[in-house]
Amino acid sequence: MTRFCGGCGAPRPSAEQRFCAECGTPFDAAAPAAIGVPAPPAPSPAPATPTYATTSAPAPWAPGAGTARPSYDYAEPARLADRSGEPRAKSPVGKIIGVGALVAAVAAGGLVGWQVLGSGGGAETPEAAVQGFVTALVEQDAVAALALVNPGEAAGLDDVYASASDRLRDRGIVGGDRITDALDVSVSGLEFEVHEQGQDVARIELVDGDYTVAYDPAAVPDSLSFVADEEPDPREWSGDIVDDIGWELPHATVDGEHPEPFLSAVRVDGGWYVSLVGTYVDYLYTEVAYWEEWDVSSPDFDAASEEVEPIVGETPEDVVGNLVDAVNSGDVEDLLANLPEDQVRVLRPYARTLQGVLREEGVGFDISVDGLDLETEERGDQVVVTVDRAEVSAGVRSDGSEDWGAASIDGSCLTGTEEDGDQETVCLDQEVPDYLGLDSLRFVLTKTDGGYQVDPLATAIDYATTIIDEAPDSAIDSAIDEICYGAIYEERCYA
Amino acid sequence: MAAVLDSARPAVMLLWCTAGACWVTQLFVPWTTRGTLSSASMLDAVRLVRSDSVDAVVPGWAAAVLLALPAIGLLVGGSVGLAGPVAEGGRIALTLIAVALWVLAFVGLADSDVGRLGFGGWLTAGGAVAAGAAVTCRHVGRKGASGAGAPTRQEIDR
Repeated sequence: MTRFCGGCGAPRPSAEQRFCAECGTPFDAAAPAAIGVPAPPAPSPAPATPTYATTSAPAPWAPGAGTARPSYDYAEPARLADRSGEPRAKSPVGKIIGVGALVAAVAAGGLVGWQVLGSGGGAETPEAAVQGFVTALVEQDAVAALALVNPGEAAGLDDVYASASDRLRDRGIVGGDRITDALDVSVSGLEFEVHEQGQDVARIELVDGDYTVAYDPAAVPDSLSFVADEEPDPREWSGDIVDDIGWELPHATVDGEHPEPFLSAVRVDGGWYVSLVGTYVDYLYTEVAYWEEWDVSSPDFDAASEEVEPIVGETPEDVVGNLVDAVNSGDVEDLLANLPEDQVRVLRPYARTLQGVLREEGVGFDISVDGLDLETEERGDQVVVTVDRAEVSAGVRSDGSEDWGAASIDGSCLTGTEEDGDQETVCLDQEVPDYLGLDSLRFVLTKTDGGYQVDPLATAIDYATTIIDEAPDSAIDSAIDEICYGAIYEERCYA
Repeated sequence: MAAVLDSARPAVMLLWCTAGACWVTQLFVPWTTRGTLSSASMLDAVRLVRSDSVDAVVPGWAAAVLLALPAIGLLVGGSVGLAGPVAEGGRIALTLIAVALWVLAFVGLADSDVGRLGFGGWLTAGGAVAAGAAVTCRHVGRKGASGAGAPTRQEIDR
């Protein structure tokens, strides 16, 4: 009995089955020479009537014969074979394709798994990170933009994005997933110059590139119809990105020169990301250094690659105490060690620069915080801390002079005491909670290394999402009215 | 007619392979031409979802949905060597799921606008076309074999 089909190589499930269920070839008509079973007898020359019985075929079954009826595969009669009875040479192509496809699928599965589980994100080069980020912004692709932002800085931005887009969609200002379809921006010829500032930090300057903006008044949302009224015709304009952004930079000069716009990139876990915080601080430093306000030392960009032992607190009160100690010590690096590493890493190069400026100016702090009464609320791996009561006194020394002040926080009221003893109390009146949803002073802690640290980004995001979520519709409408008036200077904006 | 089936089988297998390759490859390229996933790939989206960076916008289980299409591609492509009604039925069922996922992505990402379909979107559609062609070829091959006089049930019983 042949154990495999001579036509396609499919296995023969039982001796009773005479035709291959896969390709229909009679099992005993074509010999599977390549699989080590005896060759079948030579076929008879082109029989007029196909012969299905072979010497190995069982005797026909008859009812009452005392044997069980043999089972056959009736499921796919159309697949049953050609009836010529001629032996067909076995084709290995199917097997080759099948095995090749299986190997390719296993390899591709490994690649996908590695890309998803093992490989980190980010871009391979700082230039690719910036180019991808700029393209994502132009294309209004929030996923691509977020994927290229330093993860420590991007955490929580999705909360703000979700809150803002929900509110704006509710008010009919945006539709779909694009910020607006009325402006279609495209860029071309982007060229960058990479300045490797340190092992894991780079500044990427945009040295060339053009942009085109196409305006379609028909796509302007109804709530911004004043824009379409003011600009009723479609138009398109273009320009040089480097010039148009460069002239807007703070340290552009009046003698016909402007700096090249740039973004900072940082390497995290092998991948390069755009650092928005790093970019801001780099601009700030460049500005200060340009105008030579202080004799600032150059940043030590390799400090961003150093391993730093985080300073954590076991309780929210400890965290506040650690921060106060760091500020009083005047050690900027200590202060940064109290904050989440992935957020402040890009600031560390400037720590010594800032410390030098503080020393040169003779600046020092003497802060104390007493009578803390804090309320905590767990939120995943974060803790939202509300300050119910606190007594704060702060002294600032600078070039021999010293200023002192104190503040007492009690719920939503803050009482300030000046050096001469004058006191003033400011409370969040009902309008502020109603309008902004803010009714207390609070900050967010992040769990890290068995303790807690103040998370400035999470705190800012907490305030931002609260304001966006809680602001009444009238506040958004008022803001649009202001934008309208600012754009067209007409009273009808307030109608 | 076995010759018809013989010659059709490699072509059918290659069509299934093409479909599988398309559904895997779409993971690595931008899916749309404008808006979300116009400059990022599905893989970038999966990484973002897994990193919880977009958990306010996209739930965590979305990563599994985004990976379903390439997983289907791997199963369909890797199983072309398997014959029989179960394997073939499985491939057809997976194809139907892939088409459903494509429709969801087409509506959700491209706003049902063909002009917004990017390379990834077209690749996925191409994979569905290849899978459809594979099913059609197989069906035509069977009909050809059947029409040429495949043995009847009674003949087999004999």
